[in-house]
Amino acid sequence: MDDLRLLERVRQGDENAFAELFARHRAAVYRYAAHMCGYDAADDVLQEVFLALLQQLDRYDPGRSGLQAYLIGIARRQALKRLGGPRLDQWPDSGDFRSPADIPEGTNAAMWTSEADSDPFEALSRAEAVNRVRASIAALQPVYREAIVLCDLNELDYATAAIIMQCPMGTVRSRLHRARALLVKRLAETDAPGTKSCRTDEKPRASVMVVNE
Amino acid sequence: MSDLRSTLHDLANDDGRRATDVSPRVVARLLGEVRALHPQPAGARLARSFGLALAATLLVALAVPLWMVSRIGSRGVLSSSNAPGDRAPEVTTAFLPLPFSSVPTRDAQIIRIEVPRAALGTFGLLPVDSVGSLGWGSAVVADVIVGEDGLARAVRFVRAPIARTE
Repeated sequence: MDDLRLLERVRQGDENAFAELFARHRAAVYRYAAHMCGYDAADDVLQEVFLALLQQLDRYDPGRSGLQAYLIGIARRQALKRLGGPRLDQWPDSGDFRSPADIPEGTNAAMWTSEADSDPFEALSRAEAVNRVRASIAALQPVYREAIVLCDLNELDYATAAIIMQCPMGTVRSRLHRARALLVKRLAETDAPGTKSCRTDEKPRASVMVVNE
Repeated sequence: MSDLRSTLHDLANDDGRRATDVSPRVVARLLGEVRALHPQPAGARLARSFGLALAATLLVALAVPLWMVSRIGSRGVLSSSNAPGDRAPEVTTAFLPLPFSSVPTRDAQIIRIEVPRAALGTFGLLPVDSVGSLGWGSAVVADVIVGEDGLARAVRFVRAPIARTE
């Protein structure tokens, strides 16, 4: 069942329809909230976004955007409100408002072991790589971070990202290009010197692989 | 770059997993908002009130005679066939969580109802193909934990006591 039909059923008070909509879009909204406002605030932003949807169901115009873009758009306004800036490019640099406490302690290495890779070292290495990329994204300026979150993590196309970011598609493309370059550079900078030489007998670390673009 | 892409993909999956662990408080708040979108019409509220009144009447009608019988029984007047020792104990399963089990509740109640035998198969307590083939009747007794919001949190199945035959 598509989003519009589910929304129609939500209007009638159908909790199952809402549960399906929520399950369908919560990950995308949560990702945006977590990376733009911090993981500590992600639950609250997620709640505010879906509350706004429910309290103003008639405001959603399917002719303008898909529901997911609409929801992330609400999350964006919530993020701007929380961070006190009228525009994303006026947000302070990430170092000023992101504290290490906002970034989760770390991806649980055990979570990988339940997946295809049963090699514990491989699992640990991937978890470490994920945490380093997460921290590097958090250190990017908000405009670049947003491009990465929308296009690379949420895998939205340029047109949808442009609607959310309220800018032309060309701007999305150039921000994303710049964001990826900054991310690779930052990962290279944070790669500990000597790591390769110490561990040449082991499998390559994901952090090293990133450098070899 | 493909490795970075792969790591970004892993990060997206990790965030997705975190999103599924969203606080039950958030879910409860949102479900409450959905219910508020479509409040029950007055007729339904009246019917519900009538149903509750009927249930309360039935409860009193059953409870008073049972209470009197139990008092008489405690004085040794009842026949021995009705003594508790002559009945097999009630057998219950553990409480099995239902979809809304994670929604917090304060004033939950246990309600005993009859459900179709097929419900046992739903929980894997009975081979599905055996439903209906056993001569236990078409319904089973179940205890349901219901929150003050009307959502069922958990269920257990009950095998009612069977009088022993000498």
